[in-house]
Amino acid sequence: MKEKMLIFKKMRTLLICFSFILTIFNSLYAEDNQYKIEKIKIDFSNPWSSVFLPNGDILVNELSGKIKLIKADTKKIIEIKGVPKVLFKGQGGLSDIKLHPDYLINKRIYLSFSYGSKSNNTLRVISAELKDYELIDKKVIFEALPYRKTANHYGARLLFLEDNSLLITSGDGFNYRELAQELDNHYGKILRVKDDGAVPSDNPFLGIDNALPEIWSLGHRNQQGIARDSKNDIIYSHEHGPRGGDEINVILPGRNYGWPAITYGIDYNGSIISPFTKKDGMEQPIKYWVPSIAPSDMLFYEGQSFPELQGSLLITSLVPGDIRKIIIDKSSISEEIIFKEIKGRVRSIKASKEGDLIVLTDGPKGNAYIISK
Amino acid sequence: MFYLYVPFFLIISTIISSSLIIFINLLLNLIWLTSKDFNISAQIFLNSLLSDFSNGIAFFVITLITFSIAFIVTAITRYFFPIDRRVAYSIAGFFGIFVMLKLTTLVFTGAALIAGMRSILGLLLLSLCGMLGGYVYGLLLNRNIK
Repeated sequence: MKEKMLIFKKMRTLLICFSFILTIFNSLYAEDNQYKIEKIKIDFSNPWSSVFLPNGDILVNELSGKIKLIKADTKKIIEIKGVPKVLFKGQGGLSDIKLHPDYLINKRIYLSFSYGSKSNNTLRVISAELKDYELIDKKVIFEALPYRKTANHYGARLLFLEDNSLLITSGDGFNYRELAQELDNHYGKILRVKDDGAVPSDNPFLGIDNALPEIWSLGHRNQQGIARDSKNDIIYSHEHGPRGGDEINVILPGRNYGWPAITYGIDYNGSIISPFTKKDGMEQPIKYWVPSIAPSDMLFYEGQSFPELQGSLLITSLVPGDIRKIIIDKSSISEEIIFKEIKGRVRSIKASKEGDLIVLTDGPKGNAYIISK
Repeated sequence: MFYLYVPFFLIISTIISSSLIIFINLLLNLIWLTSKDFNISAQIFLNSLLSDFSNGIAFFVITLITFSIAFIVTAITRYFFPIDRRVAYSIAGFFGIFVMLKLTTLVFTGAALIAGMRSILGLLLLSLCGMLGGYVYGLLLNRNIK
């Protein structure tokens, strides 16, 4: 009897070891070993964005207001201190994170987040120095005006241009959609400021009566993706439509992208927002989705790790939840779902300088995946 | 026998109110578009209205639930304070829709899921749609109760 038990125990141990090895291989190596997907072992609280540091460490923003650093070698997690207080309500919270183009010299990072109270808040952008896992010397460089009563549609993505100016996407605040067509406010706009928050002298609406000088383009809804093709100097942005009508646009200064006067979507309750999809003086998207895919982040892939992705847009979607490779040709746009091993609402995708990717999935127990060759 | 008609009256008043809510919601959208130099022809208006009615099931269901609750509360209240049905159900319809609209914004962190309610005028007009539905309901009850 004792012997039988011993054999049983040994077999059980062997089985556990075998299934453990199998699980590791399954989770780390995708089909035909084309790439490696590594899941970071801890859960993140509503991870929203991330950025690779030059040494390979990764900073992950949690919507709830924390920044966590993933060490490149050990994958150990270190919480960054000195993070500003954010409004974590509705769709608001700690949002995007970007390194200054001269980060190696000045160690400055940029954060976007919702700030204020539930019934009186706004989108704010700050810069801060990252020193010894702490944010110091914090400076507010932008605040969207006027403040809002809703905690929705902040946009909140950041993109540095070649001249070190910063593009900020600012959503329409949900209840204020018509203001996206007016120049006297920051709702539904893409904004451009210098790295210290000053207004660049070549902004398109500078000097126009009643126009806020930071405005770069107007007529947007909730733009949660912005990326630049640096070779061809093209800026792409995508935005959530209402029910249908998610869009990818090529962003040019001074242009009007139409929301809510023209749209391919309808309201959540089924009613028409506008019966029009086109109008002179308003830009057409280069692609739109009906039904919605809820695009949540975007990058223009220029890295070396995945040559097959070079020159394409990588877009994450919340519904149904996937990563899409969009190839924009002169005459057509193709779309393909990639990295299918990653399931769930996909919130964000970022690339390292070399081209390795970090993908975040949404939710109070969101995950981070590092994809490399 | 009379009580078999009550659900029918409820549905009639719901159809009236939700149709009016859809109409006013659309009208407010189109008025804004007109202010932005869009030409709203009769054909565009009719097509939009048809589209909104055909997609208006959400309005109907929400109004039906709202009226069901509001009218039950009113019936109980009338047991103690027997005021005229038309007045009582008009008030119930008005406040039913008003409270329902306000509650949706609380649930969705301030977001107004029925765009027409974002202005005070819009909120008032939509609540008046509820009032009219309530009035019709009270009127139908009055006519059928001997």
